[in-house]
Amino acid sequence: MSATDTEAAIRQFLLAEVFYDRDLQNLRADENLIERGLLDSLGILKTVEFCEAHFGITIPDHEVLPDHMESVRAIAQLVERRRTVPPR
Amino acid sequence: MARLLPQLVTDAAARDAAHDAVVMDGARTSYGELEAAANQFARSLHAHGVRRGDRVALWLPKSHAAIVALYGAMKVGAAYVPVDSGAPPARLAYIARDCQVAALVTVANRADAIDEALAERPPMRAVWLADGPAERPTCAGVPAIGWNALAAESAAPFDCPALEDDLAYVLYTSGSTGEPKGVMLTHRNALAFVDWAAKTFTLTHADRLTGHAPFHFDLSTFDLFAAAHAGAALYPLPQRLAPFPAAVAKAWSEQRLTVWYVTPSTLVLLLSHGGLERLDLSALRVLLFAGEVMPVPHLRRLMSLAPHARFANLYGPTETNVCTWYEVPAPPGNDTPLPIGRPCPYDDVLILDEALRPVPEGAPGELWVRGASVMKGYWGHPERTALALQRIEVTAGLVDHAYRTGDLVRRRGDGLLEFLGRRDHQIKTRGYRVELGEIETTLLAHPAIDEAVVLAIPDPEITHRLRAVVVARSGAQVIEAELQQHCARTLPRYMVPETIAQADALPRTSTGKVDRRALAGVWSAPPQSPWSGS
Repeated sequence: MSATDTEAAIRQFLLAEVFYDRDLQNLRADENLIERGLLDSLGILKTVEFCEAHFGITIPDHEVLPDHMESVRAIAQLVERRRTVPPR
Repeated sequence: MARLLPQLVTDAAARDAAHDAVVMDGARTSYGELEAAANQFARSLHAHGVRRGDRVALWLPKSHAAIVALYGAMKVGAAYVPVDSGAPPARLAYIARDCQVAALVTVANRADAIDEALAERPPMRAVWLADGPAERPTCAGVPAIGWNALAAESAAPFDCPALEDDLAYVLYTSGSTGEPKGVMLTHRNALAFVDWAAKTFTLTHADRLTGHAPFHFDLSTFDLFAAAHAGAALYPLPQRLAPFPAAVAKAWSEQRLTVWYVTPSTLVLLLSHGGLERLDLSALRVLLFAGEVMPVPHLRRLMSLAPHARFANLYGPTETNVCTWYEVPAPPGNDTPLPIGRPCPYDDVLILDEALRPVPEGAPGELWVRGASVMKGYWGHPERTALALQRIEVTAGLVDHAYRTGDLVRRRGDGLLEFLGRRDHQIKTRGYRVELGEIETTLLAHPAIDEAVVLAIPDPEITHRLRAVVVARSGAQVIEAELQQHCARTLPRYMVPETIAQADALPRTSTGKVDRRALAGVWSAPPQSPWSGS
């Protein structure tokens, strides 16, 4: 799966399960989700759960930080980094 | 001279003007600076015609300027009305119209949304943009004023033309009839709690307090005003960090915060995802929690991580602020629910049956509260106020207004009160108080919906998750995402149901009411159940 595919999967999940806003179809990959108030604590939990299940990775709590989750691109980069880590 | 909330800052500045008042985003505001800026903002409000008895809405992220704004509003004799910064513009518009705000403080990038939402505007005098100069002359048809304009005003003391029973703030909470209701609280109400809390938890200027709760949530009144009472430093949590337990825990440990006041949901997330075990918590002196039931196993773990700290469970709805409390003497030996304790010295509590008679000792009943912290009423709703605040006999021959909490409690053998549950459909999710009826009314406003029920499914991490079941008008097609978007247009995000299923009909009890218990049971049933959507 390419980096673009990863971004697309995360984007699709966020649009369907977290944002409740179909006007966001044109959301850019680098758009700041936290400043726009789109991701709250429950949204973060759900996104981490989704990424772990969908991509077969683990994301330790200390990696779940604003810089790693602030945009679709940042989340995809976190997923790619965690892929190189052997599963627990 | 009347004793009012802004006086706390004036006094703290007089004692030590250079001491930190607010520390946030790498910037510090001293008590001297906070006092001066609040005087300037009060003068700016006054110059635009804002007067004693008016309301000033705040719709902006937590910031140094937001704190200046709320003190400035109170200094001019107005009440501040904090609106959930993350709420949609439609909710701001509802609140602004409902309590007829005289002024609005916001940030520049929301001006367009305000233009649109307040097209049918309340009689506002002006809109202040708290994050810089105004790059537009007007907003919602009234002058837009940049924060830089405050520099032109005098910072000399502004005599607050208010009295103790004037409104200090109006906090909007979820309303079961579908509209949020404004809880009116006075300076006297707030100070009853603040004076007691500052003394009971021995706050001093050396303390550093978490500012975790948003300003529309009444936990923030402790953060803001107990800190000012003691001349202590407040560390408001930036919105950017709030959803990240690991970032919050690390920041509080590094800042060596001494007093934490948070919801149990927050503590559970900090324990499960914050890495507290690896952090230095030696500075933590007092940990207070309120807003929902604290799970005892989590409390036990927290107490083992900070064995030197005091832990207390504070209880009280927005209408009374904290009215009972329980200091946890030692890590609980079993999982018996934590009591809500005894009344604070400024309030009395009564446990009454349906006929408003005291229940026998130890029997369950509804909790009523009277005293100095009890609200004045709901803004603009005398009939709702009359239902919630009733004149009853408090003790033999003494009649007073008491607030009906809707909470069921009982007095244990040791005299401590125990919370048993609600007598209605009010629930908590992530510490927020939610009337399921408000979400149901919102769903019913959608043209394709005939019936709607919202269920709160218990969740170990966020107290409850929200699920809705709807019946569509015959022939109408409903799409879950569209209904969620419909809700998100008027409700805060935490009130939007995570799933919305469609059913052909709702199960009924023998009395014809929707059978919520049966519906809740169906949610754990396998997917082929008739309720799983069609």
